[in-house]
Amino acid sequence: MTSLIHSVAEALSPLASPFLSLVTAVVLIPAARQARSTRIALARLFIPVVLFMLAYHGLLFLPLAARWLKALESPVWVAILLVVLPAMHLPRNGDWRWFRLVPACFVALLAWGIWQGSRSVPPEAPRVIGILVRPGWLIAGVASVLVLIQPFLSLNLFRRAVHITALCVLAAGGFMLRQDYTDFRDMRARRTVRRDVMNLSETSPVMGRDGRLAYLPSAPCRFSPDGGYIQGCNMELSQRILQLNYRKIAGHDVAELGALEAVLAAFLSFTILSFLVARWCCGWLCPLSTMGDGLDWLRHRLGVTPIRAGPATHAAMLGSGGTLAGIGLAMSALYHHLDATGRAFGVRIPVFPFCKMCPSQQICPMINAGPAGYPPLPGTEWAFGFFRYGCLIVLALYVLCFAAARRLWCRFCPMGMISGLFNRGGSFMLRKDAKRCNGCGMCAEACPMNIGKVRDEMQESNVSTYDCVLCLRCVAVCPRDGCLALEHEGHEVTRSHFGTGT
Amino acid sequence: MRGDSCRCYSHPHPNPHPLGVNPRDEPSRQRVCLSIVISLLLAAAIQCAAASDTGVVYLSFAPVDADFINRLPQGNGIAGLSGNIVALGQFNDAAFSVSGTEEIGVIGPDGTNLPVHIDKNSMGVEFGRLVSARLAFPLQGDPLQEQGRSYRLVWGPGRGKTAVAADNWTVDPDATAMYRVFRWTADPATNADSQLASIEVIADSQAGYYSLWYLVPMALIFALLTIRKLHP
Repeated sequence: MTSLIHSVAEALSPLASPFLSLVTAVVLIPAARQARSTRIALARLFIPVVLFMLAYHGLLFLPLAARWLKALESPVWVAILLVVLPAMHLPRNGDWRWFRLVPACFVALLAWGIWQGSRSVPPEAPRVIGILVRPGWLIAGVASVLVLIQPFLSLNLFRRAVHITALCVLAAGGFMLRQDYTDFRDMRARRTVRRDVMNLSETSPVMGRDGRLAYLPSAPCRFSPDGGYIQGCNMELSQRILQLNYRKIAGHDVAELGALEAVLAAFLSFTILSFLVARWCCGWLCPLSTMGDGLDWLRHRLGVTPIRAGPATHAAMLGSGGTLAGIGLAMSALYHHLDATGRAFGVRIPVFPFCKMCPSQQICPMINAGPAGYPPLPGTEWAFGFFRYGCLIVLALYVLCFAAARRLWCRFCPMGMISGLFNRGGSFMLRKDAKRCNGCGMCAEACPMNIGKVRDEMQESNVSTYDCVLCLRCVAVCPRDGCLALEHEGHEVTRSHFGTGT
Repeated sequence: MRGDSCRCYSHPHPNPHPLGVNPRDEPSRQRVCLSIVISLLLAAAIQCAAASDTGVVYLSFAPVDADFINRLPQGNGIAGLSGNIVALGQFNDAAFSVSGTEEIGVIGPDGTNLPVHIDKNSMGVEFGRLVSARLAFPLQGDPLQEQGRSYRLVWGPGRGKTAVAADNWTVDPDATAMYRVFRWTADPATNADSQLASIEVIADSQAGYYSLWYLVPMALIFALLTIRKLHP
């Protein structure tokens, strides 16, 4: 039976390929939409998919191609292909009723997986161990729950639901959700060891040789002591790229080649994801921005008017973020110059310099362990106190940016800066029908990024901008039917609708 | 719950059906579509269920040749295995990833755990996980003579506990007849002579180009992005 399951799983492995999701979104769905009949549309969708799967299996017989394809497989893509893309592209008519069976099945499977996980707990285990579930089940199940509840919520409520869910799963997942009991026990064991954060290279492995998620998603930062993580931080990957020893790679060093391959696989997967969703993750998923929105809510409750930063402040934030990223990356490039005392040219440098200042590395451990989880401050011996005071200054900046203004921090975040490249030209597009616009300016008022283009643009229909986090608050408040809309590969996902609060 | 709020998603404007026609007109097509989707879903669920950091592969064996032996460290053979027919090979299955050598084991045809000797110098570690290693273990008889006896290589927490890392892992070039190279059959991609170590294949012959497998698709995506930025 086990071998049969493995055979079936292997046969369906192309579904976990990012290339299939990319091709389906960019080519197949738009082509099917142009079809004159259902038969042709289905043929345009499914025949290429079947051909893709056959070609995929053919390539698996070539060792290097197999290695490449397997390194890119992830259950995230199964969820995107079977749940997220249909949810965005299927119309809300009779088809939608039938489609709901798909996420419903995933939710049922998630429940079954959790039940199976609970049954596997030995009797001697402590009473509270969180939830044991495999990453694939969790990702597909959570996405399915959100897809199922979406029609009953307004856009604003739905965004909050996604925010809270992502915060629970991504930030606290490493603590609450584990793959199996052994994984849970390992996590508990790690918590008993006091860590030297400046020498920490990583807390737990996140990707196996095949690139599949080996652990449950946790904080956006992999340095959260409880481990678990989706390989999603392009800054960490950038540092890893710079740390590689290219002299060894040129000499065909096996270990270094393997490390290069793992990083490139993660980068490619991240690039495809960025193409499909751009900065949508910043507006809907990022736990740091969710916590920042909490500060924003607090400020609002206290009646403090937010600062509306001007272009000079925005430029300063962008420049500062770029400079900090540059310093961090430059330091990480010194990795191979470190001597036995961890010094390069007399300066003591940590393994991941940028990460040591990132607020995520400071905040996320506290989600699981409370204030006691705050990592020890680096000593002044690290780059003459640069990291000790740098991490405190950046943390203070994070709090200040969210407490005094709205998402000012998101102009500073290097991760968002890179994702922003995909806001124009990627799959998502914020569209404006200028003929319907009455120039009321509510979109600009609602925008947490203080973007004026949506209000001011009267010629071009594409109003996506580099800074936009696709939170869709502008669409929600727009009082004109169909004036603003979010499109994915030319298909309208949602639009402004007067009177409903969208 | 806001029943009216969902109108924004099911807006009445003339948005054409993504599949071109109203499916209500063709219920049978709808059912076919639904069946395909559900089948894919269930199959995907099976795939999700199968994904795990434990694994098992079935082994088969072949005689070794001089070229194979010449690629391995040579000496007096592995201590403790003399007198046995010994299976050798580099194991680097795509799904293989363990936290340590103690999570690797080989189970013989009679169900007993066989001692596995791992070449310390061959271990490939990525992000702290062991993903590739050269193994040797004694065989129960000669599998070339006794077909049909199955050996399994297992890995994962609690699966092995019979493997040890050996500092002096060598093969005796004068005892070629006592060695067999193992292959595994879980993954068709590695079910070939190249199983000896695809990572070594990369290292030896194509290392300079292998990063292009990732860089070229990335370049294509950025090219597509640029084109779409210029011609929205």
